[in-house]
This record gives sequence, structure tokens and C-alpha cells, in this order.
Amino acid sequence: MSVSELPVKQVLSKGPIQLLTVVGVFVLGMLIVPDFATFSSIQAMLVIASFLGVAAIGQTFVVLIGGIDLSVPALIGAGNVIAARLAGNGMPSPVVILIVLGLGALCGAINGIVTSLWKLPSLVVTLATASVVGGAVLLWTNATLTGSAPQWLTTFTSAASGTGPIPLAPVVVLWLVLALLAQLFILRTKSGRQIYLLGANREAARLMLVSERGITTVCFALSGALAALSGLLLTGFTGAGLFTVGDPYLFQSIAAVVIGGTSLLGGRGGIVRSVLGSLTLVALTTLLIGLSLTSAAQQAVLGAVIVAVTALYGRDRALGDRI
Amino acid sequence: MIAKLAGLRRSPLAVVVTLVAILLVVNISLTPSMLAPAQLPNTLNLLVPSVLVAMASTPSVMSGRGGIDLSVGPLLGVVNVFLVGLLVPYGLGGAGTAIPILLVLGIVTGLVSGALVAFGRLQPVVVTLGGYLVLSGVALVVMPQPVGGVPDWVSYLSGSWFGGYLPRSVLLVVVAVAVWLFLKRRGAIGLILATGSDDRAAHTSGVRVSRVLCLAYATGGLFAALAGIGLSVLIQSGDPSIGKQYTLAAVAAVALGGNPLGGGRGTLVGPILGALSLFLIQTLLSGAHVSSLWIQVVYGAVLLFAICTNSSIASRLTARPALGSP
Amino acid sequence: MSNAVVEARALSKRFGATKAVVDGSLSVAPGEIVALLGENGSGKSTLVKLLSGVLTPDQGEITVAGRPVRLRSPKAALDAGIVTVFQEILAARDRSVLDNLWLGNGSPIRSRAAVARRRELAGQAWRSLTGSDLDLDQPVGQLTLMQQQICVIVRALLRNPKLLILDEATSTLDVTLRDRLFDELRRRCAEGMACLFISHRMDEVMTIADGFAALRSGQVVGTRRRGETDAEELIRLISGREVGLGTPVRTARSTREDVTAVQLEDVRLRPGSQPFDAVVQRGEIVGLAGLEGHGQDELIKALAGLHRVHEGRLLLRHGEELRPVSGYRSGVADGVVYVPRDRKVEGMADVLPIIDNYSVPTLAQDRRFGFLRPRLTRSRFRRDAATVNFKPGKQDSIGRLSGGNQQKVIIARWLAAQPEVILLNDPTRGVDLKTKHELYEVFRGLAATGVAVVMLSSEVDELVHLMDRVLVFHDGSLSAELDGAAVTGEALVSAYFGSPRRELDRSGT
Repeated sequence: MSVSELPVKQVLSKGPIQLLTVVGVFVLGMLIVPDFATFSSIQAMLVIASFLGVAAIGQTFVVLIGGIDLSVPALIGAGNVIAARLAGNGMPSPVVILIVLGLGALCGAINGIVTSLWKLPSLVVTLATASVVGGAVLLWTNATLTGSAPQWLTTFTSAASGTGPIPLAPVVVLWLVLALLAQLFILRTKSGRQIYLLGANREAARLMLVSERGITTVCFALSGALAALSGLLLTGFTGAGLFTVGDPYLFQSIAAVVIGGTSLLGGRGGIVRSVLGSLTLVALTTLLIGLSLTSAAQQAVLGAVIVAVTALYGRDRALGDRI
Repeated sequence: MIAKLAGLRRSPLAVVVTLVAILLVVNISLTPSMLAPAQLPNTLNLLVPSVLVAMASTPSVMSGRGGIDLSVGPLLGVVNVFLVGLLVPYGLGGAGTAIPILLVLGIVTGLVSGALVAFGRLQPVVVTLGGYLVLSGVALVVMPQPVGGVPDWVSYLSGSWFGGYLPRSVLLVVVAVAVWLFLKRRGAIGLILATGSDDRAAHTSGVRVSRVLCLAYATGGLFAALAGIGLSVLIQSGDPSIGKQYTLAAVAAVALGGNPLGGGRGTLVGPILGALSLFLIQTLLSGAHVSSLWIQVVYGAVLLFAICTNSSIASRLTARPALGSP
Repeated sequence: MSNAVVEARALSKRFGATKAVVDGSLSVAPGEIVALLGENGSGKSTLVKLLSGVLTPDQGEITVAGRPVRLRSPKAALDAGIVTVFQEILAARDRSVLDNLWLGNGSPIRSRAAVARRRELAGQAWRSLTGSDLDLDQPVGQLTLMQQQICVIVRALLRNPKLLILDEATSTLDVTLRDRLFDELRRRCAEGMACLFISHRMDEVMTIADGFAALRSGQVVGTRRRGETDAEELIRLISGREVGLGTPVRTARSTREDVTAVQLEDVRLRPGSQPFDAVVQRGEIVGLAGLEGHGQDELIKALAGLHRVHEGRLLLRHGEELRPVSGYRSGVADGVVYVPRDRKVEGMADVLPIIDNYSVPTLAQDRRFGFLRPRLTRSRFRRDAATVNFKPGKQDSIGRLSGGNQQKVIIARWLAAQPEVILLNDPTRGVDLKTKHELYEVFRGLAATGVAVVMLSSEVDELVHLMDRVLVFHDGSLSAELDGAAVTGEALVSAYFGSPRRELDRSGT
């Protein structure tokens, strides 16, 4: 009974459809698009997926407690800009990483505290903090490209580099390790189990000694830290800091979670599902690019596919079954 | 009088009414020209799409299930782009043809979302998130670059009557409000709220819940189409990407207006005033020549403050006997 | 019967591999009240849902006044004159009472005159059922549970049903209101309405029903007329075996220890109410009773640390000393646990697995080196499940269990916290007779191990049969404290209405 067995077990027992979806999209890509499944193409897809995937892990925590985090793109942008700016000024990387993670966690924690203290919908709270954070970062950088990425980070996120003997970019390995840790947290710690209870029934959770404020704060803080981390990693990929780099991740991070099959109503789902959701989303995007669709058409098709895929397994129970 | 005041203080509208009052006073004292006939049409033209889009989000939020129509913003864009990029080149740009086509476009889009939520049993956030992407994409496919050239009636709507005191674009809001009052009179709004409060109760009481949900989203779509026309009046051109930014403003306006995002309760006046206060913040700051980036920060802070205050009022309002049952 | 209002012939409904209803046949004549009897899981709820259009049958036929109908939706059933009050209170909590009473009924157009007319009719209906008035403009969510229940009943009555189905609609009503409801039903039935009545309370069923239909494993196994049967036979019919009709299981005298577990000193529940003292010893079962909303609920919540009494001291044993109640969380740490009244809302998370619903408050016990060991959780669940006589089946999520089994899991959850005092807020509500008796055994067993059991109950039989002592509340004050043999139906009911305490004490002991 080793730790590494856990996610596999969960995938097989709870997420066969999600796994099939990834495989399905992938096979479709192989059939339609030439060179879709070459090794270098897969490596590149995994790198792209890891930026999304790291943020989606955080989003999953929030969705599991029945919330939604709209501040993800702002925090990705903030992480990206801060990392590039500080690193460009010659600050040592470990300090940069700590600052970025700390600020991300702090913003997230504020989201969580405000949400739970005033019993507010997280959608609006995170929208408001995103606005504040975004404005502040843009004021700081005058909304321009800024800073630069340290060399090691560029290598870390390059699809061509490997991790020791593993032929995957270090950022991909980091993503999978983070997913594993998150899964361990959620399955094998007291707080992890309490997350599900809080998401499934707030009132019952309170009577079962779950601290609503504590758990909510932890989940949002994790989401904030992981979004900021994703932004930092993106610096390696983009080479410099630009706030708007986070913009596509607003809907993508939610879509990855939803396509993975975690219910937006809370209490049902898991981290592994969001890993699969991120993979599906990236494979799908690659497929659409391979079909040489314009970015506009890609977006339209992607939107339709999100709805269609969710219709496969994300449907609510019929009214008659809920009575 | 005192009782009335006390009633207002406990009302979910209290925060937004206060906010609007304060902002109006400050705005007018700083820039008295705001209400002058020379300025008023421009001011209101700017305001009309924001108000309409806030109204467009209202029925879906009321209908519950975590319902929120994220696709209203891009729908604005699609309506604008359809008008300038398709109808005008094909000679359908006249008011008599274009307006019905655009309104039907909005209603049908809303109906599709509503049907996916009601019959497809999909979560509204997923459906309208998908709708957001589809509509943004469609707008860009129809019109990759902004182009000018609006029909005459759109230019006409940007003008005003009575020497500048009554801008014509306000007509769009009047139409939307009239539709709303009609639906209210027909009991439809009550059914939307009842469905939002407890869809199972509504279903077992013989309410056709699926139809009610479709109606809610279709109404939102209609208002979004009116907002799209308002947007065309404002920018006097076609722009595929400008509509998107209205989605988040609409959510903010609804929340500011005191409508709970969980559905089942709420007013139309709230979101309208919410949109008005967001607009006034913007004019205040730009009037004071503050960087537009500051606007974003203030905007977020005000939103946060307002919903926190709203929530404390709401929790007093709905104070139930301890733990649901005495 | 050709004159039946509604007749069901050989209805069947399956969910996947489970056959919920195999042969649902019954008919109800005008003016007749038929009780539908069956244990939980016997298919009662499914049959009700088939008749009310919530579900459609796989096979079989429903006829209304002799004509076959297809009830595709609740609306179709309502249009056919079949009106159902469901087990769960289904009301739009944010909407006003008036809106709820007319929800889905009649033309929705709101002219001033129509609204006034509706207000008048609704007010009349409310008054005729309850004998009192209510502000019809307040949201239903602000009503008490009982008022909400009345609201859905009045809503049904306002539709002038041909067949009224009451699926455990009496479970939150107090005795007075239940009797008023029965009067109303008889009045309506005299005018030709038919009624299908479902309740787990044998006394209610025997009082009101003209006919009985017993359901077992999805099949109607027998129908009887009033007068040609008795409760014993009906119970035999629905359970398929001999079960005693709840003879008193009171045996606790020997187990009661003279150690005070709970002590109340000069407690005033509300500003205007009389102060009182009371104690609960370890090893006894003390009932809290009264009409709905007369203070018993406030007291049990106050003991749990979820409510504040107006004045006075609530003391709980803590080792050698008695300490005031300080809060819910610290209460659990001190061995005071609380089983809430509304399972679905407060008691459990119905989409989550049974084991999570059991383990979360006590997960710290399963931690080794900072991480949980699921094996430890499972083994202690087996232990506590055995104590409450719960046999885990194939179901994973707790929502799929019957109400009684859900309650067992919830009680097992709190046994894991090793309680000294267990507070039960109407724990057998909506639980079938057989499981009810199993729960009584569990409570008895707990008391025998020295746990003090404080249990709020709204059922007279239960109070008479189970409790060592009963504290009866009236208008926020303690109106009687009945001990042992003094706990009788008559004594309880008279105390419900606030008869002087002393007089009752004399007549009791």
C-alpha cells in the first residue's frame, strides 16, 4: 500500500470516463493531425498542460468546497510579473520563489477569510480581489513587459530538457509531484477529508466540527499560491513578465476542473480528475490548432466541446430523482 | 417616515442606494457639467450598455442553481458585430429588419443556454462559460478587425430630444424595463424567483420548471441584445472584442445591487443601481484625472466593501430561528 | 371498485436492478381515507411518486374516475386532481407564504383583485386548519418547521384535490394541529375528497383511516377495512412476521446511577417564562416533550451549546465536577454529543460515503505520523456500526440508505466520540416501526453503559414506552416532570396544554 498507488486506484475506481476522454481526444488527434503524437509534440503539450495543471490543482480545492476562484488569472499575472521583475533585478531565485508563493497564498487567504467571514459568494469576492491585485500590479509595471527570467527557469520549463533520467521537462515532473502531494493531502489528512464535507453540506460540516473559516482559508490560500507559482513558471516560458499572460487561465482553469468531472456544486471530485481535465483541454487545443483553425474558431469550438464533454458526465440529477 | 427609513436600512438595496447617492453628490459637485445638455447624452450613452447588461444577468441569477449568465458580455459583442459586419453589408441594416433580427438573436442565444441548463441538466456556469467562448469566437470569426459604419438609426439613437436633456439611447432601457414589468404582471418573475428558491417545490407544485428556466435565460438574452444595440450606439462602429469586458461588470453590478447569487430573491432596481454606481466611480476617477489603472483597484475595493455590507444586512434580514427549526 | 377516484393497477417501477415497486395496486373511493402502510424501503415513497407524476411507471395503469391517465409530470397529476404533500417539506423558502400557497396554482396574472381574492382564500384556509392567523407576506424560510409543514398542507388543500396524498405530512405537527388536520380531512372527505394517508405512527393511522393497504417489498400484500382488522394484524402484514406493538421497553431502573450528568439551575428559556431546575442522571433516558415550539427544542440545543437560554445555569459533568456549557465544540470534547433533527440539512452530507459521514469528527483517532490510516477508520466503523445494529450493504453514499439507517450511522458517528451525554433531537422522525424499535434498543444499550440520554420526542407512544422520565414544556416553561409510571398518554397531553405541575405530580406518583 504505497502512496503512489492512490491516484491510480482513484482513476480506476472513479474516473474511467475522464481517462477515456483524454485517450479519445488523443487518438482523434493522432488520426487527424499529422505529427500529433510525436515525442516532441507530446513533450510540448505536457509543458503547456503543466502551467494550466498547477493552477487547476488550486482551483480544484476551491471548487471542492463549493466555491470558484476568479482571481486565478490575476494571480498568475501577478506571479509572472513579480518573478520577472525581482529576478531581473538580480534577486536570488529562492527568495523570489518564496515571495511569489507567499504573496499568492496571502491573496488567496484574504479571499478565503472574506468569503467565510461574511458568508459571501466566492465568485464576487475573488472577482473583486482580482480587480484590486490586477490594478496594483499594472500600476507597478505601467502595464508593460517587464523584467526577465533567470536562466535556470528557462531550462526548467523548456520542453526539450529532461529531469534526470526522465525525458520530461522538470516543470511537468513538478506538476505531477504537486498533484500527488495534493491528492495525498486530500485523501490522507484530516483537513483533506473535511474539505469534502464542507463542500457537500456546510451546516452538517459545522455540526461535525469542521471549521468553515479554517478550511475555506486553506483552500483559497492553496489556490492563490498555486496560481502564483504557475505564473512564476510561465516566466520561464515567456522570458519576461506580462500581466495579461494570466488572462486565458480564467476559463481554462475552471474548464479543466469541470472537464475532469469535479462538480461545481462542491463535495464531489478530486485532484487526479483535474490533472486529466488539464490534459484533455491541452490535447484538444493542440488538435484544433493542428486543424489550422484560427484562434477565434478554436475558441468557439472549445466552448462547444466543454459543454458537450460535461454533458457526458457532469449532469445534475433529474428533478424527479431529487424528490 | 422614520419607519420607512428604517425599512430602507434593512432592505437589500440600502447599500447600493447610499452608494449611488453619495457618488452622485460627489460627482456633480466636482463636475457640474456632467448634467449639462452638452454632456448628458454622452454620459448616458456610456451608461446604457452597462445598465442593460446588468439587467441581462439578473433573471438567470434569480433562477437559482448557481445560475449566472457569463455569456452576456460576448453576446453584446456578437450583436454589435452582427449588425455592423453582417446585416449592414447584406442590406438588412434598416431599423425595421435589423432590430427584430438582433433581438431574436439574443433571445435564441438565451434560449439555447436555458435549454442546456433546464433540459440538459448542466451547471449554468459550465453552459454559459462555454457560451462565453463560443460567442467570443463567433464575434471574431464574423469580424476579425474593428470596422466602422453603423446604420442611420444607430446614429440617430445616439442623439437626444428636448435640447439634450433626454438622450434617445435611454429608449433601450425603457423597452427592457417595460418587458420586465410585463413579465412581472404575468407572474413570470414570481415563478422565476420561486424556481430559484426551490426548484423541487416549484416542480411538484405544477410549475413547468424547465420552461421557467428557459424564459429566464431568454429574457436575459433579450436584454443583452438591447445592450448590444446600446453598445453600437456608444461606439458607432463594430468591435468584436469590446463586449467581453461587460460580463464581469454585470456580475459585479448584480452583486452590488444586493441580489443574492444563490437566486430566489432580488430586484431589478438593485442591479440597475449597481451598474450606475460602478459607472459613477469610473466617471469620478476619470474626472479627477486618476490613472485608469487606479479605477480597477478602487472598483474592486468598492465591490468588496459593498458585498460585505450587503451580507451583514442580509444576515440580519434572514435571521432564522437558531438552526432552522425551533 | 368502479366508483374509485383513483385506481392504480399493477404499477411497477425499477431503478437499475432494484425493483422498487412490483405490483402496486390500490384504489381509493370518494370520501375514503386509505392508509398506505409499509416499512421504509417497502416502495411506499416510489408508489406515491408514481401517483403524483414525479416518476412514471414502467408498467401498469393509473385511472382517474375510471379513465386511464398518463401522469408525465407533477403538473399532469395536479391537473387530474391528485395533489400530494411530500415527506420532505417542499417550499420556496425565499418567497412569501402567500406566493407559496398559490405556487403553480391558477392563472399567474396578478391583477389587484386577483391578489386580494387569493389572499382572502389563503387566509381562510390557514385559519380553518390552524385556528389562528399568520402574516402571509413573510418569507416561508422564517416560519417554524411546523408552520412550513402547515404551509405545504394548506397549499394542497387550496387546490381542492380529488385525491389528497399525505406522505408523512404529520411528522412535524404537534398533537393539536394533527387533530385539527384530521378534522379538516374528515370534513373534506364528507364532501367527496379521497385521501391516501401515510404515517409511521400507528396511533394516527388507526385514528384516521377507513381502509388500509399494506405494502411489502414493492407489493401490495393486503387491503383491510376499518373494523375488520387491528394494529397487530397490520404490523404483521407489513413486516411479514410477528412483532410486538411496542410494549414498553423500559427496563432502566437498575442501570440508573446516582451521578448527575446534567444539572439545570434556575433556567429561564425565554424572558417571560418560569424558571425551573432539573437533573439528568447517568444511565437514564429523559424525554423532552411539548407542543411544537414550546421550549423543548431550545433546551436541547442549549445543552448542545447551539443556543443560549435567557437566564440560568446549564451544568454538565466533567470528570468530578459540573461545569457550565461553554459551546458546541468544547461540548463534544467534554463528551456531550448532539444528533440534530433535520438529517438532510444538519445531520449528514448525503452525497458523501457512509464512512466519511461517520468518521469526520473523530478522524484524529486514525492519524499516524500525521497521515490518516483508512484501515483504522474502517475497523472502528465496524465496531460502532455493530453497536447501533447497522449492517453495511453495497451502498456507498449515505443518501442511498433508508432514514433509519442514516440515523444509525449518525449515532455511530457520535459513539466514536465516547459520549457521556447524548442529546437526540427527535431521532425517530420518519423512521419505520421496525428500525424505530432497533433504535430504542440502541438507546437503552447506551443508557445501560452509563450514558445519560436526553431525547426530544414529538411522539406520545415513544415517550410513554421509552422514557424513564419526561420533562414537558409549555410556553417556554416546564409544565410537568413525569416520572416512570406517571408517563401516560393522558398525563402528557394534559401537560402539553400547561396544566399545573403540582397537580400532575400528585396524580402521577
